[in-house]
Amino acid sequence: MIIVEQKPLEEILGYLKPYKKVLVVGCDGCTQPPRSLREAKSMAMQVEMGSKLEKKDITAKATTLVKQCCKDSVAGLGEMLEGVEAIVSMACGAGVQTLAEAFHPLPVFPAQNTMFIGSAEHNQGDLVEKCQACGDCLLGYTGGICPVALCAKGLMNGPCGGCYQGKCEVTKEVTDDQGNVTTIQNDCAWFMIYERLRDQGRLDLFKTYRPMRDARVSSSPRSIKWA
Amino acid sequence: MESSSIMEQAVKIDSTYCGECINCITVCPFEAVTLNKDKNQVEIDPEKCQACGICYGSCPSGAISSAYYDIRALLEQVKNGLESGRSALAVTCRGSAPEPEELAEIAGVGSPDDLINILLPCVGRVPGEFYLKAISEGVQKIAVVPCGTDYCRFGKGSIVAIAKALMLKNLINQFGYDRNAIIIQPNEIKIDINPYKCIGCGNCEYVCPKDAPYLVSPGVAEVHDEKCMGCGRCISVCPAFAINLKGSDYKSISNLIGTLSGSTADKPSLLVFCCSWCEYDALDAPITYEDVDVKFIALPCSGRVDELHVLEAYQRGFDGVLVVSCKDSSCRFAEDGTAAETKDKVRKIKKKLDSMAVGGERLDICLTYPNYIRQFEPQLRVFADGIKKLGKTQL
Repeated sequence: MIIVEQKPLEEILGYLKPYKKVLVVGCDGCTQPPRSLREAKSMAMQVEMGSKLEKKDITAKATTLVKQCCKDSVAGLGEMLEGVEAIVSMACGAGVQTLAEAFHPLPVFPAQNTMFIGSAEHNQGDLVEKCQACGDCLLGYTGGICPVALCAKGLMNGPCGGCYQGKCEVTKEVTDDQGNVTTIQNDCAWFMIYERLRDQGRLDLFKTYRPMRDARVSSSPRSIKWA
Repeated sequence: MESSSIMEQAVKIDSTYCGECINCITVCPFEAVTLNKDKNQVEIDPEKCQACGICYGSCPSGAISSAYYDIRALLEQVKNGLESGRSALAVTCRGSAPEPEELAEIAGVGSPDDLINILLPCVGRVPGEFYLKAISEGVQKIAVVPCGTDYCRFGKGSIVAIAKALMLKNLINQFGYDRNAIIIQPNEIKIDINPYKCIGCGNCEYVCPKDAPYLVSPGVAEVHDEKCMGCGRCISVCPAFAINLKGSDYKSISNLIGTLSGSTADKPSLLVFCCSWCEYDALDAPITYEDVDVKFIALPCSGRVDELHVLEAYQRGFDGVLVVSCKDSSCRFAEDGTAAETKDKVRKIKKKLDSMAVGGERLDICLTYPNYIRQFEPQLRVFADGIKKLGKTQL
């Protein structure tokens, strides 16, 4: 899933200053938390009520697309765009750019910050990073745990000397939406890889030396031939 | 919000009349009624009591009193109904009440206008005596509509209600009345998911306290029907409006907000989203103030509170929104309670309101439970005063 986080309303209203008729477009695709019709409707109402704070009067409609990153499916937006001066996209960066290209010269603004590729830890309600799309997948050798995404140093051979009792020496301060600051100490990815491979009886893989990652496959902008 | 009024128990037992038959101990779903062997007295623990009233309906000696829906108040409703020309009686549970037309069909009367409709939190609380008195007052037909036995929010209420009604059916037959003067028709309101709208995000699966919805390939949610208790929590998080629950879906509540806002006058107006199980008086006879307009919307659970409905309320002209939720230990649906989750939801919406022309102080949550009486009104008054001070919104 592509993990997204909503931008502050002030920023979105800042984009929309010159406009009066706005279309908010949700995406039924892979964004997590979901950003479909409900969130688009909510955003439309937030934009309308937020604009009143600056004595403006924006009218916002809401709709959704199956996949905003699919050029063929965004064409279905056609008739909704009548009279619309700007689009607010609830999708990830790929969706925003697809819309911007498809409906040029109509301005398209992102309502989300695209964060990372990850998954939901449902028991805690957290969304965590799992993959950096490095283009050279190692998971077959590491027991299904990615050191590129989960090791703070991105080490190919680990653990390093900073692993203590299974925890990483690199800590991170996180501020939640209530303003509370907590220091997060992540699990050491290589310690987890060790445990996983040990349980699977494949510790020989742990001892195999892995050369540096080929950075050429992940140099932007990337494209591949699909069909 | 904290209330300052004196706590008075809703369900009480008068030991002078108590014959210690322990009927109440047997039927209490919450083990709140106990026999104190030292004093040789039956006692009710107010903290465990959930004010379902099943013990009240089962006490043969009238030793138990209930602040809500006692037999006198119910008979009063019946008499008023009979006077206005209605001949049939429907006793329905608030948690599974069918649509008025459907109810009329169950009772076998032509239109809902012929029905005296008594809506209760749990039909199990009605004493058998009430049905007999209603018949002797002149009621022709009684439709008893409890929840299904596994769907009862109080565990044992439906079983007690159905057993009681079956017994009375036989009893009135012996007195020469038609057996079918009492009709028993359990009803359940459960969610259904529209597979054509579902986007397979799994939100419903995550929030359901009963694990009723589950995802199947290719990316659609289905429901274990027997597990769903109809709290509607899933509807409030479904991004695609794919889930329906009779009477509590997005559109019907949205329409209700529209109708209620129509009557908003110059004075500030409040909208109260109230869980059906945490406040009885205010939902039966909505509180009115002279200086502030108060409107109520009953929800199956405070978990059904929807961000969109709250925002819509302000857009439609309401100046304050109050969410009323059960206290954690008393939630009818989730063992670990809904209050914490609802509080979190309210906090998030408040934050959003701060960056709009509304302001987070116009939204609040109030926790209450009917095991003590008159707990809610003082809290509502405090909130109403706050909104009065803020005045109308800038919208």
